[in-house]
Amino acid sequence: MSTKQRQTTRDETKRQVLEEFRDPISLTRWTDARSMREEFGMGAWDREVFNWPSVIPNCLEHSWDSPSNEVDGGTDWLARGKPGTGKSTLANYLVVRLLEINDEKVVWRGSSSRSEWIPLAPWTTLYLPAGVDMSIRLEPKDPTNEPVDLEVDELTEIVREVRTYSDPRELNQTLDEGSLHVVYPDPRMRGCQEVYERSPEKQYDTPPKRETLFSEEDPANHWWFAWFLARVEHGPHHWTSLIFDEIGDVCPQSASKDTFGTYQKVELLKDTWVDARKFGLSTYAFAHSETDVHQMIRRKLRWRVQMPETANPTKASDVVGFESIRMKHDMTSRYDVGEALMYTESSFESFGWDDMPSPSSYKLKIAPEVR
Amino acid sequence: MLRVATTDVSSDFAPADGDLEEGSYRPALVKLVDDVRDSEHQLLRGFGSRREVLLWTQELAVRTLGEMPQEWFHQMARQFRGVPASEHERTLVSALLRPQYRTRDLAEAKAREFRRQLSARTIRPAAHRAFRELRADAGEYVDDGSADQHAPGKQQYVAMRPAIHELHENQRRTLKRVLDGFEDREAILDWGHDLELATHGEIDEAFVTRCYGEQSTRRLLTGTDQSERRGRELFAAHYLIPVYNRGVRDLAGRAKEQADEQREERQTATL
Repeated sequence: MSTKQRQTTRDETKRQVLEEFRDPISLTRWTDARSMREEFGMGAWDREVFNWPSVIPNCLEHSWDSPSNEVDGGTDWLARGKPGTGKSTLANYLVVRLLEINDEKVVWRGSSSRSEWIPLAPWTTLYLPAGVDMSIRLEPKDPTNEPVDLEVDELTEIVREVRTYSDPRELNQTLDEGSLHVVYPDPRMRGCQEVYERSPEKQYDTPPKRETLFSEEDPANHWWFAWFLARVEHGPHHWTSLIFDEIGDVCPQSASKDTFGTYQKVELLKDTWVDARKFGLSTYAFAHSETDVHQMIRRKLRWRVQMPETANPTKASDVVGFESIRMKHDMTSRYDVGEALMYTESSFESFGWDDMPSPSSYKLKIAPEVR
Repeated sequence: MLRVATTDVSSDFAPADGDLEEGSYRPALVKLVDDVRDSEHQLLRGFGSRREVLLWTQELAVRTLGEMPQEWFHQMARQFRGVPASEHERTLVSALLRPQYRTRDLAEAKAREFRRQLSARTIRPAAHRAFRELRADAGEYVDDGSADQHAPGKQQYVAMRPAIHELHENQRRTLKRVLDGFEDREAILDWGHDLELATHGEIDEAFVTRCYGEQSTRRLLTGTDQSERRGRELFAAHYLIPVYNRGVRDLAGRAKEQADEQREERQTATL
């Protein structure tokens, strides 16, 4: 055998051996969504598994150039169901899909009493208001166990990164594409009134005995009205989705022209909504029941998700803003947890998801320190 | 206290042969109870394969005279879908299999508990309803005393109803055939005739036509690969067994009780 031949054989063998190995994972393609999917055993998103493209794929896939019968721009939904019917798990799966499909910036409304995003904590960037003392506590689900208090620095044992902000516009500049952000509102409302004042076409009654619509005295969750406006008016306008957990706490049906101007702010949110779609901002809202949410907002929500154990509506008059309902019968009251019915005015489709276990028996509660 | 879960000790569920030999005045009822007891026994012991699970499911539908909730069969079908992007079966199917046949980790104690729950919560109520249905028309026998011509243990027919037994046989045969796969397209057509009997005419009008005509379905039904074999299990779980149950209902005379009919066609895509 000549030297040349031996060389060829060696090359051949080398190639064969190397082919046995799978291709290396390229770091540029290793996204959070991919890593989450591996963790939770989720296959790649496939719109073909759904029978009605205008329902679920249309709502989750965001595009400026949608197929006919599907909408461009931001989308929305209102998922309604009693506690324990799977809303939180659905929200977590939704986040994974939004990151995967649209590579978007997902913002989860952090709330002092809840931390339903904990299954996704290892991929989470947490935003806390700068210069505000926060009480951070891990509360056991079993009340006989002792709670554990944490320092801010120690949060990075749970989440990927903690950032601080002092203005909603500034916060939006720092969000990362393809990433989940859990944002706790600024109780001092810094920058909120300015955002409002810089939108001169938005004019609402100032609450009695006050100079401004936004003020430090407001409930902290009013910050979200300003954030929403800031995102629409000041961008950046990458695809962004707001996971609006417990939307009824922020925009209750009972909103009135109180000392904090709650009603006016709900109106502000409603008026911003149309532009939100145009600027690629989607809102996925979760509530216990339809009537928890102010009807001005409900009218804006084009998709509904009915969680199990409650009957889905069968008449258009059951849903504010809907002129038709395709379901003739109750289906959802007998669904199991892990299944739901999504519907629009024109179609409906059932879908399901697996369980997503919480990594801990403790709940994370983050709230401004009470002085 | 009411004991919800039944015991682990499998011998409790073995049909005691002695009992069966004795005569009964209402042998059909005794036969029903014994059959369900046997199904439950199989369940608590666990299964050796997905195929066994399917055969058991079909038999259970017959033995409970179609009283198992229709939705339960759809749930089982969803469980056969498997976890996307992996070879593993879903948790509930895993829980039905004996540990050495599972492809995913599962605490054996939990699996046993799951099987007991299934038995206590779903099968027992269905069996109870079947019993009440049957008691109305079960015959009473008081003949001479040579006794064991009506001994339930000697009855070969489900609930002593030859027609239901015949349906069972047809179902079992058509199910096995589809799981084994067909030799060629023509065999699918032939099987279609048997399917009519096995589903008591409940199968969709276009079903066999589609099996024959759709290329992907045909490939699934005639293929010999491991993946096609698994695909046929899913196919059977999804398209046949729920319809078998409807056939049983129809034959057992409870066709009108399908309050959940509109739920039938529900196919849930996974997010």
